Amino acid sequence: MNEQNLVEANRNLNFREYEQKKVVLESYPTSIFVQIDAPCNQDCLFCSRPESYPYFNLEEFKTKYERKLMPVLERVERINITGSGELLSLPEAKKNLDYFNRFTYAEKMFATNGSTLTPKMADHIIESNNRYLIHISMHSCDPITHKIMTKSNTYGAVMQNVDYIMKAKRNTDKLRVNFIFVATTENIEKLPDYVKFAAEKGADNVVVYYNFVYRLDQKYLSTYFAKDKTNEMFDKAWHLSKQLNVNLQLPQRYNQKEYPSESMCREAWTQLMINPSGDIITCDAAGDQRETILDKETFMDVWNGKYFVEIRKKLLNGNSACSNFCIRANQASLNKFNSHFITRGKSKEEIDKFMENA
Amino acid sequence: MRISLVKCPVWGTREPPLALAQLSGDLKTAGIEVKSFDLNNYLYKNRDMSFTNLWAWEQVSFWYQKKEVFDFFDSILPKLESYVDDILENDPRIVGFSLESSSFYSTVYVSNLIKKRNKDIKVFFGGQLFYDRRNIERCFEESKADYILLGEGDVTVCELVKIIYKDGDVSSCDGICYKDSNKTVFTKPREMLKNLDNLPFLDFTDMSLNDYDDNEHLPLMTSRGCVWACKFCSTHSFWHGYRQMSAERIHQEIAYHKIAYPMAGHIDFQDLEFNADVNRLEEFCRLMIKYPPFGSKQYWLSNAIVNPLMTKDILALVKESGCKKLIFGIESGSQRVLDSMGKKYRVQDAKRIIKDAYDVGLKVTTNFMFGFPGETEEDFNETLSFVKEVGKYIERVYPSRTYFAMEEFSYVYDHPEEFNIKTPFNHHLYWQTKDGVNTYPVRLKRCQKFEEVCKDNGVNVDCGVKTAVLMDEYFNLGFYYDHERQYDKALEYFSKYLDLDSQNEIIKRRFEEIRGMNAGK
Repeated sequence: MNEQNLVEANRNLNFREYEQKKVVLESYPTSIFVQIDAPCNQDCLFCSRPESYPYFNLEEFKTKYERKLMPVLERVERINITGSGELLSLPEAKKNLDYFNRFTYAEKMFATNGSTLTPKMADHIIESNNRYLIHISMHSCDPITHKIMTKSNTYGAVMQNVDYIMKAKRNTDKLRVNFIFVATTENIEKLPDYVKFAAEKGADNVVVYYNFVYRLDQKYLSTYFAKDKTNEMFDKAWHLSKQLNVNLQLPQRYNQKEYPSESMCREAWTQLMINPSGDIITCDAAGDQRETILDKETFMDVWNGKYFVEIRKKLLNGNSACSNFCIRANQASLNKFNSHFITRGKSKEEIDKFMENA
Repeated sequence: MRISLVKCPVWGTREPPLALAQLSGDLKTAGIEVKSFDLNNYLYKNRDMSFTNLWAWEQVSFWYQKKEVFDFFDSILPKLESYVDDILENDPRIVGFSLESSSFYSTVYVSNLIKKRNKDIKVFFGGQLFYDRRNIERCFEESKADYILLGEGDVTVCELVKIIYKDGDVSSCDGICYKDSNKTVFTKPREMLKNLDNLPFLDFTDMSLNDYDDNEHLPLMTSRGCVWACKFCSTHSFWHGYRQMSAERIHQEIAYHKIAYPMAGHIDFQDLEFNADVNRLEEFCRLMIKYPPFGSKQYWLSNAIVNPLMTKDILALVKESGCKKLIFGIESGSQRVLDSMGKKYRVQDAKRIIKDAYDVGLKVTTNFMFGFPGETEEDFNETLSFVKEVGKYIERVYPSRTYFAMEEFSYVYDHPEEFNIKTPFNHHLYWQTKDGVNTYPVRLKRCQKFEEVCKDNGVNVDCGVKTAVLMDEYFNLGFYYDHERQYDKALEYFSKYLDLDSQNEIIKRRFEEIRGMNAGK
């Protein structure tokens, strides 16, 4: 079976197993999220980045995880290579990209603030002839809001780089570029302008997320405290996107009468995230519990280990934390503040204290 | 895991210290929280008039004298105490010092202050001077340092911090030494990095360019070591061989820093030479031309060797890529002296490259030395002829203000007999040959003659960096005669100095001491 067939066969099997509500799977995930932590030249208001953390090291990844992850890498449709910081600001950035480019059949995806996506790097990505989806997180298109949001002077660099890559992408069908907008109380009013900007530049999509609150000082950044304004801006942006023919992906609005019915989140079936210490979790919002691949013999020992099986069972039974407090798993939960607050890595006391204050 | 890194005086103040920037990058890459403190620059910026010239490199000898340094630091103790507060503010368990011979005593003083404040803080020193074991012993005698890092610190520092935070058993950490029951224990030597491309980018987070004398130049170092082994230079003793980053890696780092420092219009390559590998140079230039960082031309300058492979075409490419200036260590116009120095080039190559560079519009500056051991008047005259011939193509000529200083651990320093140097010598500036032909005043005279010839021939000659040439001359001659115990002459020159700068505390003090000695006779 060639690589493409392996990917397709795995996708079909994975889909069937999800539909059949299996909790022990024969299929592998269809996407892998390799957390590539790197230095960051911005200090975004809403960021979860810790004070210090080790940066990604390809040699270490290969030594520790490659063998166990190879069956996954051979079957995935997408490889997401994003983490804290700017992966393109690592001295080995190109080497890292080239490593993942070996898996030609998978679309590579990463997020960047745009400042490190230099013309040279853009050319390198395009010349690799791989399919790429790049999320450029700007959160605004005017210099003042950009500076407030990112606490940096990178606006000029970002704009120059965006210009270059958006022009360069006209000559390839293998590159998709989404403009990302993390909605907070600081920038929500700039969303319509951002949609206009994305239309001018030719972005494939404008993707809007609500920000997550990681620390108490980030509490009032949450649009939870500006529900009406947020809904209003979403409406404006929506109409504008139709006029300008831009694909706009908005999350649900606050206080809707109805929300799409709760569905079983697919991520525990389709995706895994691996962080530099070998911990494996289902998605970036999860993680209070995790499993490490380091002490397991094969990938399947993790994939069908206690953590993943439990989480799948809970999702099937509708009694997981995700069902209550995850906007992705249960969109109606967006009207509960808990859904905007990430508890990952916090002690029970910290969580209680936080919710008390909130 | 938390650590503070400190740089004590004396060091350059033109741009942030690269050692701290590199170690900070190394530590952050390993997930260790680090804060850098450039005490050298802080004291320089906040110095008062009595010590205004202490950071001029011509007066570097001050920092080699324990009493002078300790007296000076005693006099500014409140300032230092407050700085130590800042170093300890983040509650680091470890404080590391990057030092050289010139910052040895200041580092000892400050590290002792830290230990006095909190004896549980682990202190380590690292720097090229520990290549010599005598300095290791001296360090353990004079200071309360817990560890000394030997060789390249990039990996060692991260490993040491992790071990200290884990269980403190540092015996497994390669590349360090420490005291154990009064015995100096050396761990296994640390292997040198094989591929400099894997080095993390420099981290200037705690050292804003705006705080330095030159905020338009961003310093970078893209190689370690030198392809040559000139006999007056100590580099070869510490950095064995030569390793360099790839052109791609350099270009990437420039782009990275340009985001943070868009105002830095120049890259200042501090490599000993940027053109050791002409293929790399060519590739780098092509990258800079095709991908100018953020769309605007990036200017750069660097040291260079007289590499015969530098053709006119290559020089033109260098110019096109944004190079403003190449700095050549010509040192002498005499082939005999160059050979004796171990310089691997022919005088005619130097002349050709200088002329070609001029033709393509590149600025060239050149450094010269005076009185390399064995240099005769005839040799010196050849240097004068050299500058007369090609001086018009040189943007600026830098005569060494130390004429020929004896560098610790250089070949000449380690082989005085071979160079007919009087032993034991105890001063890097005031050394002399056994026959008394080559002395400090002789070297000074040659330098003055060289300047004169340059001026007569319309060659732009640099006349000192931070202080007036005359002041340096009086300062150094005063101390030379003091060193030679010719006190009347010493007083004469100190007096001349004080006529120009009556506030200088060091000269004032020594002047009074000698006068007191003379009065007591």
